Amino acid sequence: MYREYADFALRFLKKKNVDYGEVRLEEHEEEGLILKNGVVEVSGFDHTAGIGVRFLLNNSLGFVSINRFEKDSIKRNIEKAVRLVRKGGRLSERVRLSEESVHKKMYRAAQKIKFKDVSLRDKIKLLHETDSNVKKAIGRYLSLSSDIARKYFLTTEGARITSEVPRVNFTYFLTLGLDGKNGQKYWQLCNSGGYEHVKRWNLPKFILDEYKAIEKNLKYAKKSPKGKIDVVVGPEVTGIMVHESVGHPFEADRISGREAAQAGESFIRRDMIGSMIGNKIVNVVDDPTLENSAGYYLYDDEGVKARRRFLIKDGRINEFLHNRETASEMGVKSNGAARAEDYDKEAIVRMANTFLMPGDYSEEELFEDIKLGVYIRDFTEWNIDDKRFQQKYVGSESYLIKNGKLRYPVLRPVLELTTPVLWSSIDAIGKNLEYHTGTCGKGEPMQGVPAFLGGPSIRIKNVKLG
Amino acid sequence: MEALEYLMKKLKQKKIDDAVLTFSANHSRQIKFADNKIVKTGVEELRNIGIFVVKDKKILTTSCHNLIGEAGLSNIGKGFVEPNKKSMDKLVKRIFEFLKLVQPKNDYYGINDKKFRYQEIKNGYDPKAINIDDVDYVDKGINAAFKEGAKRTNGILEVHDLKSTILTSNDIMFNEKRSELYFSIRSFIKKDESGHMNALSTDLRKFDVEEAGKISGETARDSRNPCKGSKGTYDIIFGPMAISPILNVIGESASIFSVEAGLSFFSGKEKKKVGSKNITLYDDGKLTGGVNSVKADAEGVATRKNVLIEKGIFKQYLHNTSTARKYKVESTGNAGLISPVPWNIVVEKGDLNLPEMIKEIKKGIYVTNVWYTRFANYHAGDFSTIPRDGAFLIKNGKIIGSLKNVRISENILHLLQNVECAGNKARYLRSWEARTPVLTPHILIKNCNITVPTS
Repeated sequence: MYREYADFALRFLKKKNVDYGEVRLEEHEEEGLILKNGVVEVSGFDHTAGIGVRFLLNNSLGFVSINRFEKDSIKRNIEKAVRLVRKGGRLSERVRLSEESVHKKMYRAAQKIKFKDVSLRDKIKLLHETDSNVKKAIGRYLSLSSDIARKYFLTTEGARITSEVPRVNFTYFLTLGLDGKNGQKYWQLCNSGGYEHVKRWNLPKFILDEYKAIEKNLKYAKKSPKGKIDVVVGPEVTGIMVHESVGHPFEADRISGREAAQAGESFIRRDMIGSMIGNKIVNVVDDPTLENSAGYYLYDDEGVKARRRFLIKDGRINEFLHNRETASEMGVKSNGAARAEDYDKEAIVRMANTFLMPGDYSEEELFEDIKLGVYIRDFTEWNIDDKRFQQKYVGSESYLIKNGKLRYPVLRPVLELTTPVLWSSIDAIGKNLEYHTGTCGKGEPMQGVPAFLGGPSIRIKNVKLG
Repeated sequence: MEALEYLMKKLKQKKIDDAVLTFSANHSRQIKFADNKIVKTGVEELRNIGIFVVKDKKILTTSCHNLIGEAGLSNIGKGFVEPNKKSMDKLVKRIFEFLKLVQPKNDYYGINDKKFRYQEIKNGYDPKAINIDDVDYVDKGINAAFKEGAKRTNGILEVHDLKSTILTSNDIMFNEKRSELYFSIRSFIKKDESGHMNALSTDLRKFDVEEAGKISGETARDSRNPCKGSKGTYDIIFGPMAISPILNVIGESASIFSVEAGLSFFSGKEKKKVGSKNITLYDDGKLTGGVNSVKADAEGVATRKNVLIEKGIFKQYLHNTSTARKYKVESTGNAGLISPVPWNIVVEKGDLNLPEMIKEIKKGIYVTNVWYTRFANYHAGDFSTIPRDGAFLIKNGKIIGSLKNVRISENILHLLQNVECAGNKARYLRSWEARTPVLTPHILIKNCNITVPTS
């Protein structure tokens, strides 16, 4: 219903003789509810829409966002931005965009079970069933939501891309208290597609398993060993490691310094393509085209066709993540990594679905050569510095490994290490590839986008555990 | 106004318990710069009507964006037109269809019904702030950093003109108007040598980009040749930027919503000692020149100053009317209709200046900024955060060098218990990880745990 305004904005950009212009109309149809301690705290729906307009003028970049669908208002704001861009010309970076193929496409991610065909009552019932399995927890926060994102993208080069990507999301915080101790776990699940994913998640069982893991830890966990030791981490931990210490430092706008003010830079330099960064068994990809994924898209927010990006190949740095601006700056083609949170944000370089390629070990085989080690199945706290060099992961459900077997739960093992140490110390990779979900934050102003963080279990040899 | 009144009339016809309608309009400009050059110039015009409706204790929130004309603002006469009425009628129909399926929240106790005499926020709106020369201000900030030796600067200037109108089903209506200027600048010399500072104000006279640039440049200059730190116990001076994410988590933890959800380390701590006698902090919704200051909260309760921690004693949780009635206390004026929220977190100043604080320390670190503050357990308060930009090693009362690759692995309650003193000069700022503005001096905390990675 708003396309005429997007078409108008593009025509107006052409009239203003910009060197390049693009218009991104985004609509979101959302529904969600929160169950707190067994009570429906709030529920609601939203239908939002707006237009993001980006243009290049004398090699300076202008951006307009507006949710007021009036032609006068669109004109006025574009004119204002053009004036400001001209005024800032003396201080402006000479921005250029890489030459890319122009596409006219339409695509859609299917909902096998449509959100609208499942009543709110059934969704509430599901959350109650989920909650009733963990009634003893002192804090239960469960949130279930859906979003259908529709985009209509146009450029002065002739691109015209229409898309519809639905997503479902489940977020939880679970807090347990036991004998004066308490434990907590929070995380999220997300897929693109329809309600069929919610059914597949089997939330009552999923949350019960989470509860039991925390409870077991509180009841039985002993002190974790410290010092140099072998560590096996599960797919959830591998996923966050890949995201934080491969995906982020491979973003070309960090490497170039464009995002240095807040999101930070990268310990990787642009001349490091081809350098070893890990064991040669390490292969990391980022793939937006993965069906049903949280970070799914087929054309990015600059209209570039998405493809699988091989970030690390056989242990070597293979390629960075690029949008058209960084691709031009580094003399390559964009690999379709431009994403914006919504119409009111500019598209910057982002991950989509980043994962470590699986190997051929079973988890048991990963354990069997370890005399003394720790298995970290999932994690609670984590962080990494803004150059993506030194990082920390605190285990949640974790076990001692002795003579190749899991023995007893251990309390919060802490893995604190650098990126080169991490990827060089991996000596075996499991075949149990799993995808987990995160909302990745970056940019100034901050933008959060859904992404898969994936991988199989891995064995990390001889690293210091705190 | 017409739009809100029309919508409220339609909702009341359906015999709702409560409703709150909020119209907001934001006209903004942004200049983002990297490596001393402008990389993006942005213009924004966004409007929204937020809708909170309760019927038979069933709570629903939604919004309406797509209005034609200047709906909601009485001072602009363009008016409310027929298509708006049709779209609102459709929306109201959907609201009540949706509400039929929702379950009641039995511990919901209504919205504010008292009429207050509101006091305007002092220096809350400055027309001159809206009309600054953006490029000139960016230029001044960058040049101030250069004068201190910065080689590269990155950051953003934001100018906001914000207006809102709130109308409740108890016939309470009021307008808010705010100007907001934000400047963030991070200076670099070499890769591990950086400094960061922000300027934040509603008032052009207090918006000092040159001071922010200067501090950012000075910190980068002083952080030359950083060495890897060692693990151990250190006394830490947290600069205002560094303490701001921690103060934000303290503010969020004080919300009764966080307590009920199991996400607060203040759970069960009301009127109890949570910190040393050297820490007093409060939330102030009326802070002069505060970019988050409002004369009334989201349901029309006049905002006020609420002491959260007084000389180490946790005094009270933050409430809206419903949660206050549930716990038989008075609303603190912090609605958030679903979750009470802090407005501006203020730490009471102490007596010492920064050099005097440094002199107090035998073995310590002066941390100017932190990054990636993450919790293992919000209920317990266990977290870690990474010092970034200038971090300076202190020995026997003197700074002896700068540090890199260290992490503060701590617990919030442990930090509060070890507050030794607060500095005598406060800075008002907001940062990437601290969306609630803070007014805080430097804070000296004893015996903090520092960890380092395997290298």
